[in-house]
Amino acid sequence: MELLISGFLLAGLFFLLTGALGLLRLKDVYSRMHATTKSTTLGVAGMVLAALFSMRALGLSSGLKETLTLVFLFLTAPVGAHMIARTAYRSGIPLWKGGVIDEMKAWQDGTLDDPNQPASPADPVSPVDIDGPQEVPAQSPDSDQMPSEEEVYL
Amino acid sequence: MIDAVTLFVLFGIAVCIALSAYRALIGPTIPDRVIALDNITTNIVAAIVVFAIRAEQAMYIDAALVITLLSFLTTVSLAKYLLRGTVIDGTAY
Repeated sequence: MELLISGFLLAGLFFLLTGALGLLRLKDVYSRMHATTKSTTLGVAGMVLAALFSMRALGLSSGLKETLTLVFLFLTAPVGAHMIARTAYRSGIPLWKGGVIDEMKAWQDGTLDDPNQPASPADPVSPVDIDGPQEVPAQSPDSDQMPSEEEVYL
Repeated sequence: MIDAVTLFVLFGIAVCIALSAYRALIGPTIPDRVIALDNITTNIVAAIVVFAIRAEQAMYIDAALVITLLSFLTTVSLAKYLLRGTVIDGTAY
């Protein structure tokens, strides 16, 4: 049992360190968030599982609160990250210059191909040029005005 | 064995918090700082849980649960504040 708890703790520490290194080293807001959200959640999940086994083995707790912590963590971390990413994109923070694709901008421009519609041969979708860096939007179009009522619920 | 492992893991979490605090200091944009502070809070939750294992006290888990929820609340509030300039304005989010 001690080996199991130690293994969960060390796995959690590995994921936490990965998240912190990603937060320190990656290039723009979105990739930093991509690094921290998932790996940090997994790291804390490992530690909470270790606490669950430890408390069950010691007879200190039924494990309900540990499970509840895990559930809330998995529910809230993606939502918070999504809110921050949305705020960052809407306030016009540019993507990293080496970024290849910006589907949100393509969607706003109406050039994103819809998977539900069959692609008509009249307007073939231009392939994404993955060799050169994409044009970075200098400023989001509606960064300095309140979004309209339709855009709020996108 | 558990004592040694938990001590090592606590030092590792301290390193993670130091790295995140450095990003929160130098972060070029405000969402960077928000992400870094959110990461620090999550690391603190992990540290509390590890300390609960080390101290063999189940009541520390309650603090971890509360801080998890507070972290979510602060992140959402900061996101809304950065986007709208206010927190409570009657919209869905």
